[in-house]
Amino acid sequence: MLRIGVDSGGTFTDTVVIADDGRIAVGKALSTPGRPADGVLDSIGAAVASLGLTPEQALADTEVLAHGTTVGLNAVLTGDGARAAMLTTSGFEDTIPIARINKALGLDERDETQAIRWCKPPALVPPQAIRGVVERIDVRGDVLVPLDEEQARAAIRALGERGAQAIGISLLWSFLNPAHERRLAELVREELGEDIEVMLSSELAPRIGEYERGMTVLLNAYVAPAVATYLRDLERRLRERGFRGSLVVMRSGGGVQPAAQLATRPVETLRSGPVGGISAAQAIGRRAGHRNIVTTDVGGTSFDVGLVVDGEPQESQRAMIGRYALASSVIDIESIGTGGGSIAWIDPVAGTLRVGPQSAGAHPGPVCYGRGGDEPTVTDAAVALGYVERLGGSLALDVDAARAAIESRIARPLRLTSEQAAEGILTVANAHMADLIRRVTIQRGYDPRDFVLYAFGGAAPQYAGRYAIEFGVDEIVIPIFAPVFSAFGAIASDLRTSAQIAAPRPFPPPVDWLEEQLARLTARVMEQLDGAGDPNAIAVERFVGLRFRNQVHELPMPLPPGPLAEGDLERVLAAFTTEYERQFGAGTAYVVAGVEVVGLTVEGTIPVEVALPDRSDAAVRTPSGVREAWFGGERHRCDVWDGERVAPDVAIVGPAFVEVPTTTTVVYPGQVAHVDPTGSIVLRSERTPAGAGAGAAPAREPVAAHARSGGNR
Amino acid sequence: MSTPDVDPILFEVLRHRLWAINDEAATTIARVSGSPVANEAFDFNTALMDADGNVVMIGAYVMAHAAALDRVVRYVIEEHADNPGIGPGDMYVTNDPYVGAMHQPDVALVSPIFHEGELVMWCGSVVHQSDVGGPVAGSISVGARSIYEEAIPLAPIRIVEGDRLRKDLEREYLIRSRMPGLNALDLRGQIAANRVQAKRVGELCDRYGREAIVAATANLVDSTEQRFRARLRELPDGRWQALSLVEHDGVADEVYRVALELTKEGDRLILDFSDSSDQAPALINTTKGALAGYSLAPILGLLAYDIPWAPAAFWRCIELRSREGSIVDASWPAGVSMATTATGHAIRTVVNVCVANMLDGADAYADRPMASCMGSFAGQNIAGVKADGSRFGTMLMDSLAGGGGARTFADGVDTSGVLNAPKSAIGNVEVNEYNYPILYLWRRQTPDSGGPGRYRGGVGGEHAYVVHHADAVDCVLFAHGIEQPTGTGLAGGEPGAPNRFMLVRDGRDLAARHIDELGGTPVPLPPKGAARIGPRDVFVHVYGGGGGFGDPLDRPAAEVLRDVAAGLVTVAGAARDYGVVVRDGAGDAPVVDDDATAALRARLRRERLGGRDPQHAARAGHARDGHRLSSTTAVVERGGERRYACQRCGCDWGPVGAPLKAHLAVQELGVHERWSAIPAGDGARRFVLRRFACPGCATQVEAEVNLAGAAPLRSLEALQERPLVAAD
Repeated sequence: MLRIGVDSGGTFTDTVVIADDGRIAVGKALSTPGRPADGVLDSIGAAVASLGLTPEQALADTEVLAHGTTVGLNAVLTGDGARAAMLTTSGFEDTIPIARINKALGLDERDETQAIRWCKPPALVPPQAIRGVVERIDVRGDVLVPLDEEQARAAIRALGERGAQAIGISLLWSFLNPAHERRLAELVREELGEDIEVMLSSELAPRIGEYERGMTVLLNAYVAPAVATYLRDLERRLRERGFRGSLVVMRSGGGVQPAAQLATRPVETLRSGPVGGISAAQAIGRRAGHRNIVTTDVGGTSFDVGLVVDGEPQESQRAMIGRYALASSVIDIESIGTGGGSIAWIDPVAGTLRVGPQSAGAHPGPVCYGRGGDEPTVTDAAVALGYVERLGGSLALDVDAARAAIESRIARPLRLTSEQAAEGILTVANAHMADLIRRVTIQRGYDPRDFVLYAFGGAAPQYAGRYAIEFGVDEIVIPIFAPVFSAFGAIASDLRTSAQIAAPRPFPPPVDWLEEQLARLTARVMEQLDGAGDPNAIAVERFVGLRFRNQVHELPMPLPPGPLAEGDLERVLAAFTTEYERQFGAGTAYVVAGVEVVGLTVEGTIPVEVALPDRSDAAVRTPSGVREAWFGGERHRCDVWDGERVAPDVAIVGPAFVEVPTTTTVVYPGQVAHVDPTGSIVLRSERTPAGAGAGAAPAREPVAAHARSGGNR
Repeated sequence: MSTPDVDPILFEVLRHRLWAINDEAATTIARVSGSPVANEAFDFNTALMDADGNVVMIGAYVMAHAAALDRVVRYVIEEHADNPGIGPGDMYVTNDPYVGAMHQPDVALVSPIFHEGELVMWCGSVVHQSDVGGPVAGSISVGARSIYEEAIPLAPIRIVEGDRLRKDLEREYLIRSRMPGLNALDLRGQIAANRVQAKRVGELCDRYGREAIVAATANLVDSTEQRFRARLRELPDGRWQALSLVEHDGVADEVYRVALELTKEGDRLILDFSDSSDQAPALINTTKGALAGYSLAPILGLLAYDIPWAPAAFWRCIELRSREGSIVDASWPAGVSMATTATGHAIRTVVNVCVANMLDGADAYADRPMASCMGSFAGQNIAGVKADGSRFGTMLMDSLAGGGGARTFADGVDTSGVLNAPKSAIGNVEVNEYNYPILYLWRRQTPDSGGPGRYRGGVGGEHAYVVHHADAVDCVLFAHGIEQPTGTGLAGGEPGAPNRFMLVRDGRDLAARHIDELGGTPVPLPPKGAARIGPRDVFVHVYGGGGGFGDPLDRPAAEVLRDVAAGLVTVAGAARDYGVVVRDGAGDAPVVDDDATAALRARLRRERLGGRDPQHAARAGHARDGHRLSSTTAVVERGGERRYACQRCGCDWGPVGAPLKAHLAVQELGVHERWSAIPAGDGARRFVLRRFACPGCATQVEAEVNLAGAAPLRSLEALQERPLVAAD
């Protein structure tokens, strides 16, 4: 049996195939934006060909096909979604355009300081596509103004006349009392027929806050037709080729869910690609005993950082897709615009070396691509220093052009050698990356020394050895499948679903109310996981979201399994206070204000175990070659190792290179690499942690300021 | 001039690191505080300063806050270096506006950063507090006659000594507040933030050496100064005036003028506020620190958009002139508790307008001018007892959703708030209804509130609520821009609509969705005062729009139609403000009546010229033989004389030397005649809207709000004594 993971990215569609007999295969194909299913099938075909199978043979034998898709995200980014529409409480039709007055959050960093560039998040629909209905429910869920059905039918017909393809419904306080939303859905179907897609904020995003809840349902309506059509089309074409297994899709909040369920909740797939990377790190970390992981991905135009803490990816406190704020859960990934394509330049006034935020992008790309780029980039610096000889296994690189561009544009004006200039470019780029990693970790109260850093994507393995040291972790992992990590993440992810309600009220709530709500949510979770896997393997976890009154930080506190007793809630309260002070600092618990319930969440998980390759019999103990490269201003003759064949116990001492077909890992001076039995490359400083700061490695980052150390006296 | 001993690569690493350190301090405050003010309204900021207190880096939050921390540090150095002293781990707290706070609710905490016994830098932050004491909940002391009737400021005290928070002094600070628990959390956040900054800067010193850090900060300021001077040299020399009016001082409905004359010569700017009114007894004044902070904000966002925000560098190029004892530079014991949203916004508005007019004088910067956003903030504090017996109190921030200023290529951003707080947000209706006993009837964008122009100012918003689950809600109102519009337009663009408070007695109707649908008795409320909202009443709150850019009659009818369809302009407003006649077309879709529009626009142009037909046709492009003074006005040489001319039709207006507006056609009307929402009482009769147009082609050159009978502003004037620097 096979498990296949496919991730459709902007440029490539990647596939990872894992057979239960331990065979693995990797495939890549160009993405086909107009017909994304083509790219998926091409990529699967490329992967299974290396196993000697036809796509039909492989698919007939495939148990699970797990998919990360950008169909929904592309519709949002290109403004090419459906003719969506929205019904909301009359008097509040402008909630979406007002957007809580956001004019700068989420803007490109260059535009943040330019008043003339500020703007609202781009409108997904014209104002006429948002209609008010006369009704009103209050903070207690009481109906103050009954739904005016005649008026509502007229509003619905008006949307129908505009050609609405999908209608989102978001009424004030609907998450406390969904009666009006549900009735409106019936009216929509009566007026416009059964074919129109209707979605309710009380089902999709039952949280307090009408802007984020409404935005979620509107985005969902906007992408639903495209995503639903795509998933149906993909599934049909897979079935035609003999696929009988289950098709699951990666969720922005982590885990996978059957495609049919996500077709009605496509907003939950928008971030599925990058989340695949974090899920993959979580899965590999689970094997390796890494509970705390910083994930890093260097792309052409961006650098993405995420966190796995105590085995779990971290959710965003403020979930955003592009500039749209959402009320559904999204794994937290922070980004800056520093990547391989970032352009190096000299600040004419300060006379200093800058990198980015301008990027050469994919076209023309770095100078070394030979496609007409003439401004030196981070990738050009790595090429000029001899760190990379080929890209993605195939693209030939023009080393001389890269060197010449660095020489003329950077080195000469700064009176540096071209190698000094190239290393300077990497120093600046790595400092930016390390600063982002600090923001994601230390600024949230985590100590870098408690973390292992994972570097994946095609480019991160060249830089991780530097930015990780700069940031202060002791161990760096270039995981197996690093260049196609999101595709691997899709198959390595647990099946997961969750159900939640917002229920703001003082803590403690009555136990019987709590039991009743939790039972309802649990039943919904079980229903969603029905038929998706082994029912006996379902793990259910229950959380109550708590916060101090008039405070914003909400913590999901686990509830014990089984019936709740009075004493349980006291323990939850004590645990909340302790955890709050652990995260936010001693003395921060605002106990006198009182604690309130924000909401309840039930999560159901069916764990997935995938077989990782076993290469413990790899026996090569000598380098496959030698290459000249520059480190610390000196030219070194560096060993080049074949990462697929080197024995696990060989210590690869930097400077050296470990090559696999799709990427090169740079082992910097002062570092030692091992390729472990599953194929992941582990980098450590040459000396033990006691010797931090030795050799070329700079002093490491000390302990975090607060939280863990309780430094906030 | 790059400092020669700074490594170009190390400098960039340190620059980015210092930015990250300052940002880490900001997130630390938000995390530790946990308050909506710091986490959602982002009403705070952090800064790093050099050893003398010059601010070298501020965060991207409320700009004015951190920009004036230098004054706090200088005060501490001058007054307390010996007694009680300045040592490692010491922190001074203050909310004294006469030292450097914007107003009493803004609490500053500054700390020196030592490395191996040497003072390297200072760090600090400012966080807005919801209450710091005084006679009125919320500490905006409407009705005060001096600072003694407001929250008494806390002069800088060393609240943290050698890294130890002094409990006695903390108590002395907290005892003033009605919300001591919240203030204590914010203080802890600020202490933690200062510690983070000190620790991180210490680590940088350990790793790279103290000298490298000091050199890098010096280079940052030096290079920023050079960039800013280079920017100024690219702009034309000249002199510009702007005026923003603040009505009502909390005691009496007096009008105060905030008047700026901006002079730009070479690479220097002079901001002269000397012509502003004498100070008010209390409430609305700013001190010199707030004057500096609110002056700098628009300079950063409009002029220094691509230059690091290192305030010390800008102050080397800017001279700030003011008269002590005036409304912008108050003397003790004048009260200042509403400084930020009163005179502070007026300062921000006049600097915005003058800087924008300066940019409009340079072809190379023609896309950079921006009209003023909402020119004033209509604030409301509410308090009382809920049905369950619990007390509540807060400032409702909804009215931050005023309009943004129009640009030269696009409309202002609708309901987008103020220029000086890029990241501010307003709360959700549901969250407000959960926390306070109110029920909203609507919250929406207000049509016709954006200042008309070729590019429209952003519309403002409005909301209405009733009391729900309580007997009554007591409120304090503090605003200006109620009796006159304050969102100033540019280049013929008109002001955005004014703010409005209305209490509709016995108007409660939960299905009503518009002020016209309410029964009862509408009672307009004054800019400042207190009111009780009873169980049958509806409180209606309207917030102003941004200023427009360019002549509204130049706006293509299709764009006006689009606004009508989107509900941002009414059919009546389209005709009145744009001369566009919109009728219902097929299926209720509005359409433009082209013939009626042409006729109406011709009539409006004639009215501008006092009933005369325009002699010239306006055309695109501008006077070919002259220098650009603005997008509307050129200066040409004729017969050895420098003369003003129209950019649109080339019409010769008259000699430079006489006030430019003396050459233009003018229409004047009372503001209540233009904005029907302004109560037509004696208050409103003091203000006029003047429209100035080219006598040749009738293109509108400026729309000015001023006191009736006052001489026109000299908004744009060519310098007589020296030739203009050609901008391109």
